[in-house]
Amino acid sequence: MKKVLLVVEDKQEEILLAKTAVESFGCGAMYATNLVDAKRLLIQFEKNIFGVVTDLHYQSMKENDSDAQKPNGLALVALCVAKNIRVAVCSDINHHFSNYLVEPIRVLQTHQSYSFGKIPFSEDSKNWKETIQKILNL
Amino acid sequence: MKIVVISRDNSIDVLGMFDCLGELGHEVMKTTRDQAVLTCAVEMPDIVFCCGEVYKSSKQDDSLVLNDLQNSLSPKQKLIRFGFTTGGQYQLLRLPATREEIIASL
Repeated sequence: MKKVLLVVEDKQEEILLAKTAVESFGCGAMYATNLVDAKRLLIQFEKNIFGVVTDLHYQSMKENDSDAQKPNGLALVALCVAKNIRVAVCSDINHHFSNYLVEPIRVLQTHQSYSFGKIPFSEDSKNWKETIQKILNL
Repeated sequence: MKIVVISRDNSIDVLGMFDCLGELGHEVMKTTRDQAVLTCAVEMPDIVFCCGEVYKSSKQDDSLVLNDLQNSLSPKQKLIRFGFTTGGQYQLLRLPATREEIIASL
């Protein structure tokens, strides 16, 4: 059975790179561009999704451009941890001056609900291939 | 080509199109709107036909299906909507489509 990932990213050029990386591993994927859509897909296909690969900074919902620079992805990471769904972060937090996000993600990966022990984190630059490789190995 | 047809019903329009695509030698599978995004993620079809209720974008949940498909399909995968006639970013056909129209849309 083909492994299906949920990928969350708001920039079209990055989505294209993510799609290329997903295909290179022979996986399937569904894509969301904001937190509301991502949570909806996660809940709907919770039993079918192998793991979630998410950026950190994107809109909370499609119509809300004002919060695209906020780390809404952190909420999705927390939800995955609570539901014990593999999750990896593909972000460039230096670009967003968001080094403070490293700490909560380190803490979340030790949460008792999360059995995979690790949240792969591509933090300096978005490396979709490496991040997907790591989540597939969890 | 591998083709996914999204329709919740078995109307004669949809079945006719299904038969037509099969007769043309394509690998055709049907799915519901609830499973459409997952089906497309797993099957990686060349073409996705949205039929029946899916094209009625006034319904919120149907809009979401199209939104998810738009996000998830790659540029080389073609999304064709049936019955929606007021324009949009997808290739459009009216229902019922003729055999010639279906062939031309591929």
